[in-house]
Amino acid sequence: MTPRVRLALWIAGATAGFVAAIVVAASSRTDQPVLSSVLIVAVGWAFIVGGLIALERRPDNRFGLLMAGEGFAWFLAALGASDNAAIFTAGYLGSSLYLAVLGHTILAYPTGRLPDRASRIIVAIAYLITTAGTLAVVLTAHPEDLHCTDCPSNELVLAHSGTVASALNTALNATGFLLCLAAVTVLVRRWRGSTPAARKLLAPVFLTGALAIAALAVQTGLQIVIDVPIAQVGTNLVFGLIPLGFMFGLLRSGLARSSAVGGLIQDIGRSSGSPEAIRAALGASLADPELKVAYWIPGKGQFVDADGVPVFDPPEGSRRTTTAVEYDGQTVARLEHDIALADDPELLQAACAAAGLALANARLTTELRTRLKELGASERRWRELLERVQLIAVSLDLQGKIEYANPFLAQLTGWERDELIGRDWLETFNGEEREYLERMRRADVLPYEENFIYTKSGERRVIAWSNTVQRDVDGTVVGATSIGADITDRRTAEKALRALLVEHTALERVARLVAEGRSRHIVFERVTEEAGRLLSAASCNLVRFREDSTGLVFGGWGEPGANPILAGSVVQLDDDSTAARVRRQAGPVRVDSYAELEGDLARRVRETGIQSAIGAPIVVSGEMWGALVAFSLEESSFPDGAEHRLAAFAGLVGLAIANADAREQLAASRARIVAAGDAERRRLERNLHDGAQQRLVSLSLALRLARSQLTRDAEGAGRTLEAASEELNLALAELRDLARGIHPAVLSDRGLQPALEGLTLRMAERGLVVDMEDALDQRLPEQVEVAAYYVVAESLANVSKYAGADRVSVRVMRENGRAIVEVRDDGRGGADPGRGSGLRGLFDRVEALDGRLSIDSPPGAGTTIRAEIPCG
Amino acid sequence: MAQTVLIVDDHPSFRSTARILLESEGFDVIGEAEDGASAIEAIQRLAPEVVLLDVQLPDMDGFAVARTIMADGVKSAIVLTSSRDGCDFGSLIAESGARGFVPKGELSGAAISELLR
Repeated sequence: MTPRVRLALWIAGATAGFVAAIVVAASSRTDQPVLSSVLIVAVGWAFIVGGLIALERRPDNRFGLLMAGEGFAWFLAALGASDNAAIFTAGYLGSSLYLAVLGHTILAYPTGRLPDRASRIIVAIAYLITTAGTLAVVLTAHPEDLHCTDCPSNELVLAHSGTVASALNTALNATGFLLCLAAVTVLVRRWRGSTPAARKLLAPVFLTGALAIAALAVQTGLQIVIDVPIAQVGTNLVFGLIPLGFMFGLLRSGLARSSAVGGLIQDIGRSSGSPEAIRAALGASLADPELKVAYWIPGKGQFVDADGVPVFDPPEGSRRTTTAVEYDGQTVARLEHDIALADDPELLQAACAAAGLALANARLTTELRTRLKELGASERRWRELLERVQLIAVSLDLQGKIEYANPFLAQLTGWERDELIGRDWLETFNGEEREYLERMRRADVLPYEENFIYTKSGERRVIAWSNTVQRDVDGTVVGATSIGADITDRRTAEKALRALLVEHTALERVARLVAEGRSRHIVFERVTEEAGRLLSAASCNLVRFREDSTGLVFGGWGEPGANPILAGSVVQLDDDSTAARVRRQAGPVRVDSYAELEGDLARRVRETGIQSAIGAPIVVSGEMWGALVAFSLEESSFPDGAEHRLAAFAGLVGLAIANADAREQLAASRARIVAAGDAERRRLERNLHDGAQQRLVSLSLALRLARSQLTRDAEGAGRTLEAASEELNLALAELRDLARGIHPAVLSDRGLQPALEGLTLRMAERGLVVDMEDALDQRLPEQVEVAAYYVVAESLANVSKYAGADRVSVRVMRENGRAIVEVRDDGRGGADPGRGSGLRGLFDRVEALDGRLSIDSPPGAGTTIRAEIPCG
Repeated sequence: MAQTVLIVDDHPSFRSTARILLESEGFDVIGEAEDGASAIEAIQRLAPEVVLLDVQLPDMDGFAVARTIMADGVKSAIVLTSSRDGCDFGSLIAESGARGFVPKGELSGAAISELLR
């Protein structure tokens, strides 16, 4: 509301008062015109002045406006005293509006707003009956109908009915009476639900208001009963009290404020200045014993109570609210108080201003207290952590005495914790840490370091330390605190892992040599060196076992001057030695002291300074080939399991030898195949040359001879041609045999069975009975058929030539994906596979197909040749 | 007068055919031998004018037989023969001291006479 409007209200109020005074004073129906005028104007102006002052003070509070409105309504009712019919009618029409406004004003105190539904209903009905209700009466009644015989005429009567008017009037009075009772009930209930602070504020207005309403109730009640106008002097007097009550309330709040603030300043001055004393003083001053003070902690960005506990906003809908307290432009605290105090912001502001400095100081106290509390909590947490953590925590003073040791240190080292406190660290755990103490005194400890401590039982543990210097408040170094992790097991594991890696790498290097097919000599040399170095041996040798219980020493590796056994020397394996033990036990062995060994070899070894050894067997194709032996110049110097690690190298040696053997065998087999091919071609050439070629040459000569004989000796020519014909037949027969020898055509054309039958028939021609059993249900791959054919053909040829057998059986079958060919005779046996090229050729032919050929030929008991060839 | 011939070859059929062929062309086949050793013995004993000598013999080759009898100062003319082609022997024939080489398939009295001329 603008100041201009307020000024207009002041002027309107003054004017309305004068108009009302004139109307009343000039009325013929007024007994005491002056007194009545003064009383009417005094009451009206009291409302208007009080309302406008309240409006000035609290422009945002509508209470002032309501109060002023009540003054204007009062003056409107006063127009009813006029002798002028029009003015009378207007006053008559607004004669009871002031009652509704009064009820509205009292029920809306102190905020200017109706706080509950009951109030709003009461006020709405009040306005209805004082406006529409009164209008209805005015439209139907003449003044005399309402017991005013000397009143001017009602200008608004539209449909006169004295009965109706009287009934309406009675109904309005009855409703007004009920509304009065309802309003009093609401006020009483509101009073009872108020806090002391609120009552203090409500008391003057509620008292006078309730009195006025009660008086009004009495008045309207009487009017209903006796149905005559009651002199309103008493009611008017009571109404006059209401603005006084308001004025008293305003005055009282001002006085209370200055009194409260004065008391507050006094109380705070007398108090200890503690947060609790300030809270008590504020609570007393603001008549709110439940008032709470929360202090602003900028670092945390929240309010806390005097104990540092965070404080939150009061719940919505509660009767509590908050007001911030500022000092020197900064928020220092917040009051949580009765919501009623918000209706007296001046009081709150004055109290806040008066307590600002004290609250600022208390805030500092509270903040300090909060910080200390947090510090204490933090320290407790750290201490608890140190007590429980699986790490060493220890504090030393400058003399190296233990000031604090956590349970883990005690547990790790076997000391009692109580024993440790005050003990000298160096004497207790590690005498070599003097430098640490010196560094500590210079405030120069290493933030991280690794060293070791000894437990009470003498065990050494590796510890990784994090160190920090401790200072007092002046910054003087007073000691150091260290956190240590026991990394002994980790270090051990790392060491083992590193060793494993080294071993793996060494094995890998040797394995690569083996895989590359390097010569045995190179592999032996590298294996002995890698194994010897890895196992920290003085020397390492390879020994080849021989059938005569001796061993041939191969070139090995040795630290300079440490190799005790020369390469190429022969050692006796029936003596006690590492190699001999490997041979006997067929497994890794260790000799922790050569003093325990007897025999010449052991003595010779001892003489070279060797004290201990380990050995592992070298196995090639399931046979004990030899041993790998590592020697040391110290007793029991090889770690546990070293012989098994050596065995890994020995395994690689075995593999290298087996590889080399396989390669050699392969090369020999290839050479034999080539040689067999060459020999076969030579044989063919010789056969052709000696056989068919000679016969064809002779045939050629014979034909030429016959031609020359034809003219002079026809008979001779005939004989020559006869002989030539025989020669030609022989040549054809020889060529057939030869061709069959190169490759039996029937084998390719018709398969193994017909080819073998052909062989059987030819053997029969030579007098050898062959019992043929062919269990093949389908043809074999061509290469397998050819190999099987030659196994049978060569075997039968051998039987025919050498065995002197009566019977021979041939079996061909398929079994588990292999073609089995077996030729068994009852001859003299004793066949030697290495003797003739024929059998060796069979071996090569079968092995070239990944097959296996075996010969069982005990002397005097026949021969069995068996070939097994994979056939898919 | 017919020239005397000694036939040296390990194949009897060739020897008999060669004998008939050469005799039909006027040669006097005075003997046969089936290997190197018996050939050397027969040459020394019979002193033939011509020796028809097979290169391939069971005990030694014809070149060795030729070297031996030449070394012994035998005057017989040596004609080497073989069922192989003469080229197969490279320079061996030229270096053997023999009069020449006749492939067996082309053997005839005329061919020998040609070499002896």
